[in-house]
Formats: sequence, structure tokens, C-alpha cells
Amino acid sequence: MSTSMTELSGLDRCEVSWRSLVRAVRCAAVTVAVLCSACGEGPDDKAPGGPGVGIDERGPTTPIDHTPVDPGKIVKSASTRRLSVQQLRSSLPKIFGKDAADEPITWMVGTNEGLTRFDDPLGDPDFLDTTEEGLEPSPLYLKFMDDAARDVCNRALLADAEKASKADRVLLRHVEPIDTAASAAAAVADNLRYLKLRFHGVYIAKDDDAGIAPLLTLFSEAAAAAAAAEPPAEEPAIEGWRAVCVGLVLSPELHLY
Amino acid sequence: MRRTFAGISLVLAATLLAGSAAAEDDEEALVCDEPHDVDRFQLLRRLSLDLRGSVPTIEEYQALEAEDLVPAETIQEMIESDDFRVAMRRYHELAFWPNVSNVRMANQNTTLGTKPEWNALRVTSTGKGKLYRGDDGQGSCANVQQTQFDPAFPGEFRPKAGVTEGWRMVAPYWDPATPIKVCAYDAQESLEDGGVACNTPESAGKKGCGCGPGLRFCYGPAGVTNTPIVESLREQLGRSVDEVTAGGAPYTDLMLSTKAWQNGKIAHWKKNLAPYVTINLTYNVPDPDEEVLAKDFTDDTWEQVDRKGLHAGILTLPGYLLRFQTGRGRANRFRIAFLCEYFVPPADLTPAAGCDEGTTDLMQRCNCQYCHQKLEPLSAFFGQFSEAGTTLMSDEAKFPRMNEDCVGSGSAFCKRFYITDPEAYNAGSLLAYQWADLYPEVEGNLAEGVRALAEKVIDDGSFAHCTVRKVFSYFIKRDIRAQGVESEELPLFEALSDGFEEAGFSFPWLVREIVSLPQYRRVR
Repeated sequence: MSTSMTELSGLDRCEVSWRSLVRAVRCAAVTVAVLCSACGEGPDDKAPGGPGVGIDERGPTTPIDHTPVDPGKIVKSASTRRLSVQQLRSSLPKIFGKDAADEPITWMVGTNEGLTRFDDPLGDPDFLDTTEEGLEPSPLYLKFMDDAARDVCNRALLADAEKASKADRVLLRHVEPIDTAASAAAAVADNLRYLKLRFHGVYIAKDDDAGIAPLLTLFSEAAAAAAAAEPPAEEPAIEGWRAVCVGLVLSPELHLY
Repeated sequence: MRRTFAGISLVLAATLLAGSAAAEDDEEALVCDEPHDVDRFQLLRRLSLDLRGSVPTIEEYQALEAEDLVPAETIQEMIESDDFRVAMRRYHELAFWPNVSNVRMANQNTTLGTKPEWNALRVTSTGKGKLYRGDDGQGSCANVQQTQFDPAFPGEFRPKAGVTEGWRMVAPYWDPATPIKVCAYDAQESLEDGGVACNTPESAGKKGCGCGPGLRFCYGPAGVTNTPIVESLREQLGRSVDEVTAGGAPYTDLMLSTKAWQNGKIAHWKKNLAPYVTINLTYNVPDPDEEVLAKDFTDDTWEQVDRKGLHAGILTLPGYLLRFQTGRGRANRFRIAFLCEYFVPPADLTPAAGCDEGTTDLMQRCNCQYCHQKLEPLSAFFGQFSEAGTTLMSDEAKFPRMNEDCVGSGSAFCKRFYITDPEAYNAGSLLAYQWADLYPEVEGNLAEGVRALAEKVIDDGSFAHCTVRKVFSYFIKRDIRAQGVESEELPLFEALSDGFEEAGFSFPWLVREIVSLPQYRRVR
């Protein structure tokens, strides 16, 4: 009985997590939602998760609007988990490299590391008051990740601005700051493929334009908006890359594995 | 730059609204993906996050472009990396909760502190203040350097009687390079006074006892003494975990090894601070034959000592004993961590036939007995270790199993360790032994200690089963289906358990096997 209950709760966690993620993104600020919707799943992607059935003493363990689940799907695969605070702490410097002061990039809130300052609400147990790792992608988690995304992307862009060689850059690895989708289509596409691999571990083949289409749209529209803004941005393409970066950080593909 | 970004968000809002509406429509059509293999890039990401605690680097992803799959050597390198050791520490911390930072080691009789109105550091207890200065215990020494000492005690720096007490500059054990002002009585360097050791509770009323040479018998400000000690106790447990996850030792050593790591903080605590017991707080007096290394507090190097006796892996380390402070708590955590078993109260309680509503014997008391018939014998395995403390109470001269003097006694020692109520069953017995004469199993478990329990669960296979269950659950992120009607993976469960044993209880072997399973490489 206990095994069954745990399995169901594991299944639910995946399902509830995904739904929470989607709903929370919708509830977030308009800009955030734009970024997420623009860089989210490709047309062939389907939402993971699935309904679970079964009861324990607390009653049904799945949301009431769920359709029945095929238990056979559980046994064939692993389940999904959100990154822990520790995994985020170790991963951000690997994704973003070093800042302009040659320090590993992580989320900073003033002079404090954001992942340390907010470790409790983000689910990091202290083994005194909290003893279990909180791995729900809750609205609060998303709010903090939104803050983090803007901060780390800005740091990475500032660091890239100091580097003349593209090979040394993190975000602008295949493009120059002035390159746009119109002026350097191939370079922009290469950079989007590279970023998708770097951030999400998703490999998009050279001939797969559909795989980068949402990101390309985001980049182009953000760059165009920056150019049309009053006053216009000095380097509109940089704003495009910023939007892409923030969108990639906020994507479920970065936070779930 | 930020202002521009904010500006473009309005333009992008149109896309948002369109996307949001589309997403709303899509939700109705949400369906589960069929389980499918992840590609080598996603597998590498999964392996890296699970085994190293972080995502791969871009270079590691790009190296895969020339491969058809994630090479076995890559997995092996991850398991042999230091990041794996760190990641597996975290996995075990989730089982043992080794944070003892809220544990009070001692009261104010051995704690140095200061106040704005004080002229130097002093022991903060009012009683000590009264003893040293004869005032209300709230004041401190004069703001002058103490220069006159009792010549009858050369080298001990006992203030000369009749002279106003001042302060001395002392190099404290926690930072010998930075001398500090300490009131002269508190800074006395006597090791004993009238035959009473100055780092024992019996010295509380001895005016000739201060904090000893270098203040070694007293805690300093919490941040420089208590905190490093409790952090070391956590690290000590972590090092024992490292031995079995990355150090090549069999996983059974987690429960069987008598070895423990020790650094200067722990050695100093054990040798100088722990003997001064505050009876109503934790009891951490060194075991009768405990090896304490000759290390200074500032020595951050670690060495292993052999604790011998009834010690049993992490189960008798301070990090465990102080985190789970009762025999029952220790047994319950053991059961969860190593047997994957939980006490769950039934929905409906029906008293068993013949049970007793009023007895204090929980193994016979109605309803309580359902859990306690299991829990009390398990708890007895830990019975020789002080509750709310770490001391092995094997010295029967100090801890007789029956102490008639404690019957009806109001002494703090008796109330701490013995049944003092004259009306209670076996009044005068050491707490853990109260019911031992009624239950041979309890008596035997008390004598054998928790190593015997560990050996039992290793021999009967339940330890291997639980380890497989937990490791599988951690890496596959769901429970293994090996129980009841959902037992499709029972053969796998048995094969992994048997293989784990045959591999000498090698934790890295088990991890490698599990991350090589088809289940690990599929997602839905």
C-alpha cells in the first residue's frame, strides 16, 4: 500500500508540477509570459505528465479534472524532477561562465547570492525546520527564477561585451552584437542552436529550422521592438539576445529533468 | 539597457496574449507523451545532474556530437569524480538530517561573553560572577591590567586576594594569534583546584578554577567556538558517508565501522569542553576508552580514530546521536533510513485482547503497543548511549544498571539517567533497562548494541533491499514496482539486491547499474 501511494504521489508530482508551471507562468508579469510563450515547446512537443488514480487516506491523489492514467506508462520510464537549489547553484556558473570581473556567474541580490538568501522558499532544506527538499515549481519559485534570469543574463551580456573574440563569449558565441536575423541569418540560427544546447541540452540539427523557430521569433521581435523604442536601443540585437536568454532560463526544459 | 528592455515588453505583450490564448486552447488537448528514450544529449544532462549535481558544460555536449551514445567511460568518470562524492553526501543528508546547530552543548557556567558595560570577556553566568567578585554577579573586573597573582600557585595566574580584579591579555584557543582581554578570575590557568578538575561540573564552586590555559575549558563567542564545532560534527558524518560512496569501503560500513574522523575542533571539544557537563543539557563526556587526538582547536586537518566498543558507523556519531536524541528517535530513523519501514498509525484503533490501559510499559499499553512492541526492542539497541548526548554508558561504576541511591532522589544526575519514582516498576534502574528483565529480547539488544542490529539486517537482506529501493527511487525518480500487485520490476529488484551484495555492497556499483537501466534512459 505504501509503495503504491508513493508511486502515485510521484506521478502526481510530475503532473502537478507541470500544471503549476504553466499556470504560474501565465500568472506572472506580462513580459515574462511573452518570453515563455515565445520560447516554449516546439510544435511537436507534448506536455509530459499524466493523470494518476488511486486513493489513500487523504482521498484521491490526482486533481479532480484528470482523465484516467495508464499505469503501464509508469513502469517504462523514469519520472521527472525539478532541479534542486544545490543543482541550480552548481549549474548556473556552468551555463553562464564568468562575469566581467572573472567571477563565476550566479544570481546575485545586492551582495548576496540569491540562491543562498532565498534557499528556504526555494526548497533547500536546513535539516532543522525543513527536512525534505522542496522540489515543487511553485509560483514563488518561478518568481525568483524570473529575478534570477534577468540578473544572470545581464551579467553574461556585460561579460560578453568585454570579449572581442566570439570563442570567449557565452551568449554571443556565433554572432556579433550588431547581427540581426536579417543581416546574418545563418549566424543567428547557429547561435540559437548553440544556446539551446548550452542551456537545455537539446541538440537541434543544422537543417532543423522548426526547432529554433520560436526562439528566432522571440529574438527578432525583441530586437525590432528595441529598435523601435523611444529612444531606440543602441544595440537592438543585444536586447534580442537578452530576451532569448531570459526565455531559456525560464523554460521548463531548464528546470525539469 | 534595462529601460529599453522594459519598453519592448509592451510590444511583445501582443505575442503574449496570443500565445496565452493558444495555450488555453492547447490545455484541453494535453496528453501524456508515450515513454521514449531520451537522446544522448538529454541522457548526458540527466547523468550529470544526478551524478555530479550540475549540468554538463557546452564542451561536454559538443563532444557528444561525434558519438552515438554517452560513452560508458563518461559515466565512470562521473562516478569517480569529486562531484559525485558531494552529490551523494547530499543524498545521505536527506536521510540523516545531520544539522545539530540548535543543540546546546553547555550553559553559561562555561561560556565566555561580554556586554557593553563590561571591561573584558568573562564567564556570563551570574553564579560565577558572584563566586569570583562577591557582588550580584552582574558586573565585571576593573578596567586595569591584572599584575598581582597568588604566589602560592605559580603559573596559574590566580588573582592575589585583596587586590582589585583587573583583566589579563590571553591568547584564546580559537585564535591564539589574537590575544584578548579576559577578567583575571575567568582567565585563571589552573587545571584543578583542591583535587577537582577545572573542566568538570564539580568545579563549579571552585574559585580557583577559571577557563584554564588559553581559555580551553570555556566556550567563546558562539560564532568562533560552538558553530565550528557543530559544523565539524556535520562534516564528520559526511566524511563517514564519503568512505562508502567514494572511498571504496563497503556500504555496510555506514553502520558497522568503528572508525570516525576527527579534526582539531572535535578533539578540543571532546577533551576540554565536553567533560564539563550541564546535566540538563547534552551529555557528551568522552567514552571510557575513547581516543581523542592531540590536536589544537585550530587544526583543521582530519584523521581517523578507532572508537571500538559498541560504536557502529554513523549511527553512533555525535551528528546522529545529537540529531536524534532518544533511543526511540534513533531507532525510528534507523528503520526509515536502512529498512525503508515507517510507523504508520492505523485508521481505526481497536485495543488488543489482554492489553493494559494504565501501564507505563508501552509494549503492553493498549493501542500504544502496536508500534512500541516493535520500537522498544529496536530502541534498546541504542540503550547504552546517553539520550540527549553521545556518551557510551558502558562504565558500570559510573552508570550502574541499578542505582538504589536514585530511588526517590531529586538529584539532577539521577533524574537524568534513572527511574527515580519509588512507585515505578524497577525503581532505581537505568532508564533504558527499566523493562529489560521482562523482555529477554530487550535485555539482549541492550547488551549487544546497534552493531548487532546492523549485522542482522545485513544478513537477512533487508539492508540491501532498502538500499536498492532508495537508490532506485532517487535516480529513476519514482519507486521501484516490486511490491503487491504492482510488481513488474520485482525480478529487477531482486537482481539488483543480489548483485549489490555480491559486489561487496559497493555503492558506486549499484549507482552505475541503476543509471544503466533502460528505465533511466526513458522519459515520457
